[in-house]
Amino acid sequence: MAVAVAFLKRDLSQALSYRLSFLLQLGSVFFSVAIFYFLGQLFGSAVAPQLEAYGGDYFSFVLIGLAFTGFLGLSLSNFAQNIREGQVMGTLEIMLLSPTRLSVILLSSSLWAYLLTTLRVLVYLLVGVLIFGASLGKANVGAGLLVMLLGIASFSGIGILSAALVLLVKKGDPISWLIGGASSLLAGVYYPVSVLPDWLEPLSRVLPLTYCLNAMRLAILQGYSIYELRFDILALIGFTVVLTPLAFLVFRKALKRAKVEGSLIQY
Amino acid sequence: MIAIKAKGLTKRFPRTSRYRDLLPFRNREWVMAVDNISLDIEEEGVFGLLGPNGAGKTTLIKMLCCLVLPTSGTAQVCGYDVVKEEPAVKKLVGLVSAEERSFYWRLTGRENLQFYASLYHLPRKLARKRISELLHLVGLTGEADIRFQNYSTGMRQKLAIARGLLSEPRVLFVDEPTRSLDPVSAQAVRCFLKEKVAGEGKTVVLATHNLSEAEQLCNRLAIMNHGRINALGSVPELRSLFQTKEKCRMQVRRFSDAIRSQLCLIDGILDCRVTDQYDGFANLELMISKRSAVLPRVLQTMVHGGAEVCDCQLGELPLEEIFVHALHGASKEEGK
Repeated sequence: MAVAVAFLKRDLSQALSYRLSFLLQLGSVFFSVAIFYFLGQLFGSAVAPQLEAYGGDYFSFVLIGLAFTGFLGLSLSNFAQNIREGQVMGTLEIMLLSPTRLSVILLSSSLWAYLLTTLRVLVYLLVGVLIFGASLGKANVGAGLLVMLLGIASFSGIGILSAALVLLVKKGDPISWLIGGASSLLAGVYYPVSVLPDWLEPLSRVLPLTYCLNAMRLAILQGYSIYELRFDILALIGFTVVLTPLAFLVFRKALKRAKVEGSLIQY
Repeated sequence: MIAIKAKGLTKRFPRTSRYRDLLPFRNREWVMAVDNISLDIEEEGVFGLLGPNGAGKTTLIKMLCCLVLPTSGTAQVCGYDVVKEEPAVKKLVGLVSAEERSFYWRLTGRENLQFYASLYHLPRKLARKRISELLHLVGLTGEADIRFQNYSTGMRQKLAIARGLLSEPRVLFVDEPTRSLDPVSAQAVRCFLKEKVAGEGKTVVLATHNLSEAEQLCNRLAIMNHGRINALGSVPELRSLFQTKEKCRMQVRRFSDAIRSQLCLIDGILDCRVTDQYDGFANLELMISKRSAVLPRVLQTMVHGGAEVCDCQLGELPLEEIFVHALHGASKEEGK
């Protein structure tokens, strides 16, 4: 716990030393929400039948997609980014010299980014509701939180796999590129999965973001209960149970290889 | 007590230049970094690893710190195996590198130390106390709350030493601590290592290519080249091992050419020159080998020839020459 707090303190101090960038990051939320609000206005009342399951409002649909995709993007990039930063700064080697376990270092170093992303999600929802009038009145917050945590856990597995690759190849990470790109295209961030052609739709089912966004929209926009979301929740648990231990195993192997090659701080 | 024991320690790095080199079961080129080193380092005092760039000093240190895995051989730090008992070794060692990058530049010196202290699981109160003590010890109390990016190179090095000592390690590895320091700061760091670290009962393993630094600080040293230890011992031991000739300076009254001719006949006198003459005194410079056999005969010849020896000084072989001898593989045996 003390280690996690130390990482949070370190990252908070660094973030606050770049105050303008910190504020601009949050401010940029306004522009992306505004763009999709006006796109929603363009569609007007011409509701696509694929959106009916989520309440029929495109703006609310895309708002949830935008807000929670941030967690995927973060999980995919943040672990790898922290490893790369440690290589470039030379801090990775010093951290690995300490008796703190690698898994603790890896998870703690991402805590701040998760907190910041949670804050961004809240800003997304606040801007969406307060300024652009999105309706989240039916939200089942408990179910939404559970889906969010399971989503983060399953995305993190992929992120740690990606970090393992960065430990070896230093720059250029095909896992993050492939999963990130495929998720944006296929997981239903900007449009429902049901608009995809029949031959492409099955591919969306191998992506955890598909289940996460579907369950999150149903929980927040339609107020579904945990029981009603059980299939999506079970899928996310399945991803987590398979990916997390696999990711740590692969990362440990990659670290061993970096120690064999003496490349811990090469970049 | 032995602090570090290495036996047949070897490290070969695979050369990775293409992505396909990452595939298993692929024949790859290997680069030898540390070649079959066996070494015992006693507890307390400063042990030097002296060698040119690329000699394998840093790789050896990283293997002993569990940051690089050996290809073969074994090494123990305070009795713990660096591969099999990594967590125990990590609790006993500290590392000070010349790498400025390993700090967070936007944090203050104190914040950096607080962060690293948490990785060593130091309770908050103890960490705060130890950080204050260490900052005082390295002379950074006044600058503790300034951002690291505003530190001078000397201050950064001092902070690196403080970080290395955070966990109160029994063995402190110091890799080229004065590499980029001005002479005054370098001297301050050397004094600190000698008096405040080694003087407090810790073992310091110092990698350097600075010969005077090694001579000033080290109780014993190993001269490394191409991953091997070419010579091992204290500076006097190495000197006696490599010193094949000595310069003897004498001030003699009533010195004559006849005495000079006789001196030149002594077996073991390689050269005899008069460097200066004034008021009946002559300053001589003799190059001799086999000092114990030659010196009594020189004095005897002087006295028999009617000369009076007023002063006699033997010059020591500079460490630079020992270094050159060792690098050229003059001897790979341990000095005794």
